[in-house]
Amino acid sequence: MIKEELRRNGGGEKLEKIDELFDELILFLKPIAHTYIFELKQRWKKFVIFSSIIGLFGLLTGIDYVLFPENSLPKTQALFLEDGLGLIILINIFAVCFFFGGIICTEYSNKTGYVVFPKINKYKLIIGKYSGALTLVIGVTGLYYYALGLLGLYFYGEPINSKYFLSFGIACLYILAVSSFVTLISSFMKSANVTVITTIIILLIGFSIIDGLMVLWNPNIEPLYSLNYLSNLITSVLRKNFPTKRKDRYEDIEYKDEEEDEVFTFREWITPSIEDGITFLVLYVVICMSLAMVIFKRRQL
Amino acid sequence: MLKNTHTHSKALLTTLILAVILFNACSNVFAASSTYQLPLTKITKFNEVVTYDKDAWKETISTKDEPDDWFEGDADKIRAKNKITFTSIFSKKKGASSLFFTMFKSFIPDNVSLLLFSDPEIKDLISEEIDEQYGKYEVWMVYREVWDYTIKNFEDDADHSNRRQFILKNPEDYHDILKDYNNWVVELNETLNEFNMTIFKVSKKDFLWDLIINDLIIASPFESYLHRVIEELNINNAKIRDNTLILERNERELFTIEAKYGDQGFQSSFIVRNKNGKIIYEIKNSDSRLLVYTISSVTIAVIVSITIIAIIRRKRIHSVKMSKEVAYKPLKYLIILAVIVTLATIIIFIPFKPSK
Repeated sequence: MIKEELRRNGGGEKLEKIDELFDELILFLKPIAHTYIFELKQRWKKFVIFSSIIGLFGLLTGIDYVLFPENSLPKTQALFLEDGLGLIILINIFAVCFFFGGIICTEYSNKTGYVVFPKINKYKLIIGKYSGALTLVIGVTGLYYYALGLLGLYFYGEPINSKYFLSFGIACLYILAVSSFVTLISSFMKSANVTVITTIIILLIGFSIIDGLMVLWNPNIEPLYSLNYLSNLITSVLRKNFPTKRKDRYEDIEYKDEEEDEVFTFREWITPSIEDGITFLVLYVVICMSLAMVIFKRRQL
Repeated sequence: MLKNTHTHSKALLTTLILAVILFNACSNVFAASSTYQLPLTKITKFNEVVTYDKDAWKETISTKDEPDDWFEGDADKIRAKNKITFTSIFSKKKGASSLFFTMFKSFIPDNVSLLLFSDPEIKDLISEEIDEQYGKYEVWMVYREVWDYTIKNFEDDADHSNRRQFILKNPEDYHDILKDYNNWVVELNETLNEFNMTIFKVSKKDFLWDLIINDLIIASPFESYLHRVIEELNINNAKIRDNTLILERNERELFTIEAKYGDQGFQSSFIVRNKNGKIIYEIKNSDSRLLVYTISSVTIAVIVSITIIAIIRRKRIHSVKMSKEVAYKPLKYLIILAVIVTLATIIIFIPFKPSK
């Protein structure tokens, strides 16, 4: 009815333009949507297995307190959630490597690119696959948060603090950053297995070594380049007094050598500020995805 | 082939049902190693002041004392809430000194506390002497985080952190601990008199009253435990009815308090009635277990339903020519399985007890 009215009032041309734009948008999004759905259907079994294991981990953090009455429950809900989320970084790293490991390289290693690339735009394919895998990983993380939140409600009887949802938001941003990093690695690696192993080594060991060396070289540099350090924000936002000042965000540990009468100070950075953390995570996404797309464009089958 | 599958599925279902029932039964068997069991688990309870008739209180109990003199915080305001989180539960043998200084804390005057407990060395010496003379008691030791009554939102940190509470495993020990304490008071007064100080002995009625006001936790079976406590303390004006301890007291006028005990062993309600039976003060208790069980059950039911729907859809896609009877046979078992899983979740969660 609205369309007919517009046509009568001479808005026919505008309406046609809108219709054309809309059709183009649908055409643009359709392949992405189909790839997204295909990705979800293809990986649903892995998602179910992973989710079951992660959900069980989530519940086990609470069952420990039920089975062993002597095991002291944290004093407040915030402390309980902070303790429980200690595992979330590892879960995210493994989930991202598991689901994103083969996102680009499998099209080349399995030679499926010969079939798929002529029929569908490369970038739309990767966007669809990326979105599907992202949905699954966020689903797995969401399940862990849900299980932990339910336990928090059981033990402490209070509604979950809003900071918990902020923590989930930052966890999603962290997943985006890590998945972009894995996509970058996948864009030039030959196989999914090598991608997964390389990424796990870099994320778990590589960044820790670099952070340690950087602290020794110049402790005043805050390791905002490190995904390891940025991941601390997920749990630290739950703290009652989140350190807002720079001097509160690190701890200097002194080691005294009595023989040589020397004092060695080692700086341990605790958490980035919320603004810095979010900014650098977004930067990771932008830089890694841009590089991944450039490499992907130039990569030959 | 079909008959074998049918028999196999039936056997599987029967085994599952039996396993659920056995698990529930066994959790009670493993726990039943002593006469009384503490059903308390790590949980948070909320107490709320539901009724407070100020005029009736002044008429019956006192014109000076108000409910906030009995309970900490704003217990004299309707809708004021307090919160207690039970963080750990130990089963131990504890020296008499720890019990004296915790269970009889409100009977020790401040000046005496300062004299005895300000210096840790003196306190340790006194504790050693008491433990040597009066021995040890079998207790459950409960640590709590306590937030006082307030009408505002609770602070992040508790008003009283790591508060210790002792529950005697044998109800007969309530009489023994009182007797030992009073003997110790007599001995201590010989020394305190030199400093012009005195501690008074505690009567059985006042001891029981103090225990109830300080949120006495009891072991199950509740009625049996409470009966034994009252018999041992030889209190005439107390009786037990349906897990409720009813105690008569006289301040300005005669009044009764009713402390009802819930399934976890702590007070689920505290009621003060005047001589006419009218409620002049009432506290009710709540926790979040029902909400959590409901959410869990709904979540499991949703997951199971989605799984069933997905399986049915797959069956329909793959077996077009299959007869309705054969196609929907697994559906019957699946629905039964879904119901059993949901019920099992509720049954397993609700009566889960600590081991001792």
